Amino acid sequence: MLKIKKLTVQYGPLPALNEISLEVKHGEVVSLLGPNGAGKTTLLLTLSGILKTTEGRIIFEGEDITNLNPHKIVSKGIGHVPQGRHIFPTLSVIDNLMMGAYLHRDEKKEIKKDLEWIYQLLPVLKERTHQRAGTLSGGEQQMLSIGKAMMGRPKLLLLDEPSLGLAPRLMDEVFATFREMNRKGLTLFIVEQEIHLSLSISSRGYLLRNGRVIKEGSASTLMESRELMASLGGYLPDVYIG
Amino acid sequence: MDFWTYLPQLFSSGITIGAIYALVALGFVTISRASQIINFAQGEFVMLGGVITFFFLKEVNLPYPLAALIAILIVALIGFVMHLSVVYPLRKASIVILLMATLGASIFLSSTSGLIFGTLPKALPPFSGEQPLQLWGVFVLPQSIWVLLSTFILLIFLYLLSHRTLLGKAMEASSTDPLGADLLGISRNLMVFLAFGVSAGVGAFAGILITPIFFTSYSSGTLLGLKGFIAAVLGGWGKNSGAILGGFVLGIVESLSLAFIPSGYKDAVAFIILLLILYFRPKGILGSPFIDSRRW
Ligand SMILES: Nc1ncnc2c1ncn2[C@@H]1O[C@H](COP(=O)(O)OP(=O)(O)OP(=O)(O)O)[C@@H](O)[C@H]1O
Ligand SMILES: [Mg+2]
Repeated sequence: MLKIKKLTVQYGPLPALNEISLEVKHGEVVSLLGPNGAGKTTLLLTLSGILKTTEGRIIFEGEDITNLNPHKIVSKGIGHVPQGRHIFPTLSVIDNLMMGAYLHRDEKKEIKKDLEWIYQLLPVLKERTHQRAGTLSGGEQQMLSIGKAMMGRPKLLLLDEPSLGLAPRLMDEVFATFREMNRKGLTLFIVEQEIHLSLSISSRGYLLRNGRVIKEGSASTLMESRELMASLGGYLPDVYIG
Repeated sequence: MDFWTYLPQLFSSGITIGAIYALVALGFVTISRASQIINFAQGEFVMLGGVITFFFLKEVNLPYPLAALIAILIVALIGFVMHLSVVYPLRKASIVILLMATLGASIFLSSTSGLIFGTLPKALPPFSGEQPLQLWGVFVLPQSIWVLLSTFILLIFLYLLSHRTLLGKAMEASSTDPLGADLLGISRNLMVFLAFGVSAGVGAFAGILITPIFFTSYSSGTLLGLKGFIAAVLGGWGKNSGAILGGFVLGIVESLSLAFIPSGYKDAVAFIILLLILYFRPKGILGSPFIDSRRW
């Protein structure tokens, strides 16, 4: 579904990504792991066309989408939940969601159906429909950020640290939601610091460090890899403790 | 006549000019919310509105409403072209460079207007009648009532446009979180483009309202633009409600000052207000989403 070939991205003269190659297949959940500053957010922003690449190709469903404008990429079916939420604080919850459906704003009936499905997935949003988004709690804002990306009816959803700032119980809930979305056919590419949580719903993963892929493999091999522990500062996933 | 008898008179003309300042300020705010740019050519849009209407009314002999409508559309078009030719190509440049570019555009627009339409000051006829009406003991020109009424209607129209339509909400979304909006396919560049058209149209509208009251010449844009800018800062930079409030406050204070100082110094009042507000409350009366007063 998504193929990235030797992608290089630079901020000024400094390369943040160095010849990254990876792949996400149809219906998969894939994790992208790595320490702070590895270049995870940079990669996702490049996939969405916010950042431009100097070298390399991005292929989505057989089509070259390298350096297209963001709205073109969204319309091809790539949704993006950015790191740090980015909801619209002055608009109500429902208006935020409608902004998510902006590109197919004329399909009133389908939008209504999408909305029902999102309210079912993320029931908090339904309770808060007319509240100003800026007054939502951090966790609720995260749900809204996911919800508005879903309103774009993506085929592939990029998630940048969706667990950030959520209480552990809520994290489990959100990841259960991702699993549910994946069961309904959505392909997910998740950037996470919560390694075991993310790998627990993923089939495969990539480990990124200093702008390079240093390890890739199935979720279970990654979970046990030394590189993962080493690069994430000796953090032990729960599986080792319990 | 003593002070107390002409106070209501000054007050009523202050409200009239305040409405104009409010519209000019609103133009500044619309663009700065979409793009963080301070558009120094805003006053030129106002001037062009008056001058182009004059051209169609007096030289082409079109009916007044038609001449005004065509002028608004032409100026909105100039706004779009200014975005495409000046702002869009510089979208990756720093804000300071963009400011200088809009300053350049403003000089270009005023000199071009002088070349095409001549440098003589122009006055449009009042929309209806010149005979002042007496309301509660105050003499009011019919044009003042037109100004207030039209401003009020335009404000309601703009309010509905930005709060009740999807496009208006998309502009709001893009101005509060450009990245979040871009990731939903709401193109920031498109929103800035629209903002330029709307601001230019609103500016032209203000120009048409004011030209029957004050003479408009190719160079009147600068001062009107600065007054509108001061009004926007006074009310709270980046807030629509702030722009409107700031416009009326500035208009009224400026007009009332005529009771105390010679009219030649009137324009200085606005700049003194600007200095005072920057010293004591840089975020303006209603507060500004862009300016955190603690950092000053
Ligand atoms: N706008 C920018 N200009 C210059 N350098 C940047 C910019 N954004 C990111 N970088 C640098 O690029 C590198 C990768 O950053 P990125 O945000 O992609 O990391 P990340 O893996 O998402 O980290 P985190 O886990 O902290 O979110 C970092 O060294 C960062 O300092
Ligand atoms: Mg990041």
